[in-house]
Amino acid sequence: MPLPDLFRRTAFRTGLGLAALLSAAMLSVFGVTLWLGSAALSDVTDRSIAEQLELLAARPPELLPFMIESRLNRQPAVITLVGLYAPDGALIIGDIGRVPPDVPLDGRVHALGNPEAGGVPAARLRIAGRRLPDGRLLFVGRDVGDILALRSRLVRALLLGLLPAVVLSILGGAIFGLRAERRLARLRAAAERIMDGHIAERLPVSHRGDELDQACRHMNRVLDRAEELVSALKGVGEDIAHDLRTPLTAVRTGLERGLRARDTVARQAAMERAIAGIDRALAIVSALLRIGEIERGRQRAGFAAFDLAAVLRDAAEAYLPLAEDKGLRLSLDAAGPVQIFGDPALVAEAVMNLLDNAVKFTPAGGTVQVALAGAPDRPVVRIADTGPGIPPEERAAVFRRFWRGDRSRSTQGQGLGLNLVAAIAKLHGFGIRLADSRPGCTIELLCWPAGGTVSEPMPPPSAVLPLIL
Amino acid sequence: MTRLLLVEDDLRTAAEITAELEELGYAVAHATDGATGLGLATRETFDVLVVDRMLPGIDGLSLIRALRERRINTPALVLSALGAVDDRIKGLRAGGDDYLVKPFSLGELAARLEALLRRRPDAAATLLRAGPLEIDLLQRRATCGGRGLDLLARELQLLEYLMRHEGQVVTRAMLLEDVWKYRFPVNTNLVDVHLGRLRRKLEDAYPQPLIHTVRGTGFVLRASP
Repeated sequence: MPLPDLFRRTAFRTGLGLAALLSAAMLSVFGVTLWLGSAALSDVTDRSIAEQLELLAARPPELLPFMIESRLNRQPAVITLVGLYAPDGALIIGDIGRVPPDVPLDGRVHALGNPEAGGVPAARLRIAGRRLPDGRLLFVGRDVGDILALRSRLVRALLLGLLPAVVLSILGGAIFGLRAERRLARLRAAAERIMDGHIAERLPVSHRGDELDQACRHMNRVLDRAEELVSALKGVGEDIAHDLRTPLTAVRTGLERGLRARDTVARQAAMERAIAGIDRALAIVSALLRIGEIERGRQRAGFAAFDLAAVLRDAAEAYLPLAEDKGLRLSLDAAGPVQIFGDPALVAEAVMNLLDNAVKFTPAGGTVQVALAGAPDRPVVRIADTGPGIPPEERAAVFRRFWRGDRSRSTQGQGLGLNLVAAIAKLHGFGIRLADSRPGCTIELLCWPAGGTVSEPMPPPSAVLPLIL
Repeated sequence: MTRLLLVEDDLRTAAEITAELEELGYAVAHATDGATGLGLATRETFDVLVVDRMLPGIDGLSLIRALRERRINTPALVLSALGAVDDRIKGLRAGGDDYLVKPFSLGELAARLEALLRRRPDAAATLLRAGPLEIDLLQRRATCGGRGLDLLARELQLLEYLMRHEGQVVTRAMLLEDVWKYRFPVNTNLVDVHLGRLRRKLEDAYPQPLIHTVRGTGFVLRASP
């Protein structure tokens, strides 16, 4: 990859920035240490110079030359310089030479401005002087060359140490950056594959469990859901086509035969059958539109508190003759009133659909039970039948559009009833529970009571089936 | 002749409706947009209006509201696309008007128009009569040819509805909406089964059939010979 491009990458820049920051931090630590250290060292030196000056000045005047002499003799290689001068500036004894010019006689330590004194370069000399009570001049100085040398050696050492540290941090930063870069590249590649339509593809998740992994895991869950929706939708188009084709084909052949028929009665019968077929096709279209309408949640305007028990009673009453004609026993157990909050017409529609299925699929001699169960804070509509039931593996699928158990393909029905129920339940925040009642199947609609404050449907509880689409 | 104003912008639908209604004896005037329809309905007198909800310019519901503001109370039937049935549409039935969801059958349209045109016989009466049939609305009791009928509550309501629409075709949808108050698609077999039971009870009491099935449309109660 070309260099400018590399520098534009966030990960790489982060790495470099990290290295620079690390170097700056190390530099400042070293610099401050050095500065404080050498300042402390000069302080100590200056204080000892001043002390020695005071010490010598406090000696008896007549003893002073001898003490200085013995000091010079005792420590020939001493770093301390001493000079005692007559009031006129002539050297009495000492190793400084001429009177250092420009040094105020105030007893404080000064850097010597003069180029040479006692063979020591002036830049390395710190000196203090005073006039003694008898008029003589006394100077004490010190060659600080060793301190300076120590300092410069320290600086060199630090710089030498800094170099590998900087290189290491740049290297580390780059490796860190490149690794993040590579991880992002893998994510990008996966995202591109998903965008290309490989909906089953997922973002890579490492074992580190860091924030990026958590974000990826979350995204993957979003993708799972999207995949579910897509696969649910994928079948819908074909299902619609299939379910429309069946009645339309029948209509076509029926009309063809009617066209060939000679007598009016046969022709009329053919046309009536054709209309019935078209009506079936239209019912599918209408049901689809209606589900769409409910799913868009347009119908919340009709929400109010109403008696669920009355809805069940009416529905059971409506289906009783139909059930009896089919040889079924239809029982109702709905003591009321039980007030719930919702659209009474939609809830009735859902109940009627569930009841319709139960009556449709239960063979003669069977039983359909309609009951209002549950606690006052969670009323439950329970519709149980002794029909063929729904195998556990198909339970999640029954609420999908056009699902129809294989055994019921022959039964007339749009296969949209349960989907409509699911859409209505979702609009109300109701749960749906499917269970085996051996034989047969039990469907429960878990409603919410009309409690004064409930104005919005509550979220569906997690324990129940996910509601399709 | 019954004068009918059809306000419908889809020419194909309009042609079908016009042909069917003319065959049934209506004199049909046709407007293709709301403003023209409103003008026609204001200037001329009609017995009934059929108005599409979605119209260019003034929509169907606004047209009817404008008419009512001008104190023109011609009953109206609004044609609405499925998916656009909201409370305002549903409110039409309460206001003495009606609505029909597209696609509909022409038989359904005819039956509903007839129901709109016929004034309900005296809603305040306590006794309802049709041929041999009689309902005491206070006692909630029905008799046929003088013999008491043992009817369930719903069967009595059904009979009452049929008697109030005597000689008129009532569709399954109308029965579901008005007797059961179910304004959503319901397995229409339900209506047939309930009506079948009512019919058998009437047959036990009276030799001649009173409730007749109109193929493809609904039922009609013919009580007078």
